[in-house]
Parts: sequence; structure tokens; C-alpha cells
Amino acid sequence: MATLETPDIKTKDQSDLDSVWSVIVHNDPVNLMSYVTLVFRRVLGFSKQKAERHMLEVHNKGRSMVWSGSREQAELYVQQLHAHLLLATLEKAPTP
Amino acid sequence: MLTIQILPNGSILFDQVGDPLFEILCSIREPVESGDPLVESRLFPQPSENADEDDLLDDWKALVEPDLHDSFLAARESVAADLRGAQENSDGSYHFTIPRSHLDNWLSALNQARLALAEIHQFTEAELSRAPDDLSDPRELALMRMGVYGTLQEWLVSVVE
Repeated sequence: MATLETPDIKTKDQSDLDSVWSVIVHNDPVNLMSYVTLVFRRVLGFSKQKAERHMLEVHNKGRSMVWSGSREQAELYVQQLHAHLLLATLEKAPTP
Repeated sequence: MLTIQILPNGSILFDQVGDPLFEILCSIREPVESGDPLVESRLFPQPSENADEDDLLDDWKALVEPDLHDSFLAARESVAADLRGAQENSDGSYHFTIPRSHLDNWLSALNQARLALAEIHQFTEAELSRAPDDLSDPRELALMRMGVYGTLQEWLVSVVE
């Protein structure tokens, strides 16, 4: 008689789901400043001014935290930023 | 002389495109599809810098990267189709149209090509802001191509904004 194997289901740790996660965009010398600004406006819904501020932060400081909140949404934003060829990562925000 | 015109329906007509520029545009796919592992790493970066996030990294590779791969390929194919529709003028130059609905594909394909060329030739930030020199040198030619793609991309950003 055939037996069913127990599927290997991985679940996210509850502490991961409860934590605040940040989306970080990293500098790269190839992406155009105007293009990065456009992507911030499109993906994150930023105003032109806010998008330019974050773009300049990426350019001058090497990285900018562009969003923070739930892990699922952070993963979605990182995926969308990657689809526009930006270097983006998510990281757990430090606990206060 | 190259002329670019935004048509009433939002499409963009490129006319009097000379042979060298047309060739550079037609080779937009080549650096991305070179199979260079550095290009792969840049086009498909990891979603976390934390090595402990192995579940996320595994899921990303299995679930997200294939979608990104398809989307990047579709953009390049859309650009190639627009260029296949180019027609030769009596003076040997070309004209072609980018439909409004293809502008995002052009933005993506141009960006993919620039990122790929930068990885293949390992250009430094300083090199990226200098003019290319002897174009018989493949590296200098790549720098020139990056400049052409960048100029067009910058202009297309201003159009879609």
C-alpha cells in the first residue's frame, strides 16, 4: 500500500511576521538618477519631491530605506524594485 | 540627421537613423544574453544581505527569479520586434516606430543592456562618466554603447513621466 510522505512545509517564524521590515535600495553607478526617481514614483507611489529625495540619499549615502512595514509587503516591494532592475533588499528593522 | 517625433497617438517615430546607431540598437540583447555569470548576478540580485535568510533566498530563486527572467526576456523581444519593423529609407538610413505601449519595454531593455555591459567590462564609476576613446577597442566600444543606450533611456524617461 502506498504511503503518503509528509510534505516539507516551511512556515515563516511568527516573530518574523510580527516584526517591522524595511525595504532598502542600494546605490549602483549604472542606474540613471531620473530612472530611479521614476521607479520610486511608480512602485512606491512617492511624489516627485519625495522620490528625488530618496534617490539622492541612495546616490550620496549608498542606501536609502524607502519603506517599512509587514514582511509580506516588503517582499512584494523588493520584487517590484528588482523587476525595474534596482538593487533592493529587505531587512528586519531594529527593535526599539 | 536623426529625427525623433512624438506622434499624436503617443508612439515615437525615429527617422533618419544611420547605420551605426541602428546597429547599436539592434545589438541591445547581446550583452544580456551573453551568459556571463556576473550579468546574471546583477539582473537577479538577492533579496536580502542576511545569509541566515536561506528560506527567503531559496524561495526567491524558485518563485521570483523565473518571473523576472520572463519579464526581462519579454521586454527584449518587444524591442527586437519594433526594430524588425524598421524600414530602410532611400538614403540608406532607417525609420521605425516605438508604440506607446512598448515604452516600458524599451526602458527595461535599455537598462538591462547598460547593466550587463557594465558587468561584463567591469567599468568603474569614473569610467562611466568619461567619453569613450579608441572605438576599435571592444571595451571603449562598450562604453560608447552604454552612452547611447543611456541617452535614449534618459529621453524615454522624460517622455513617460
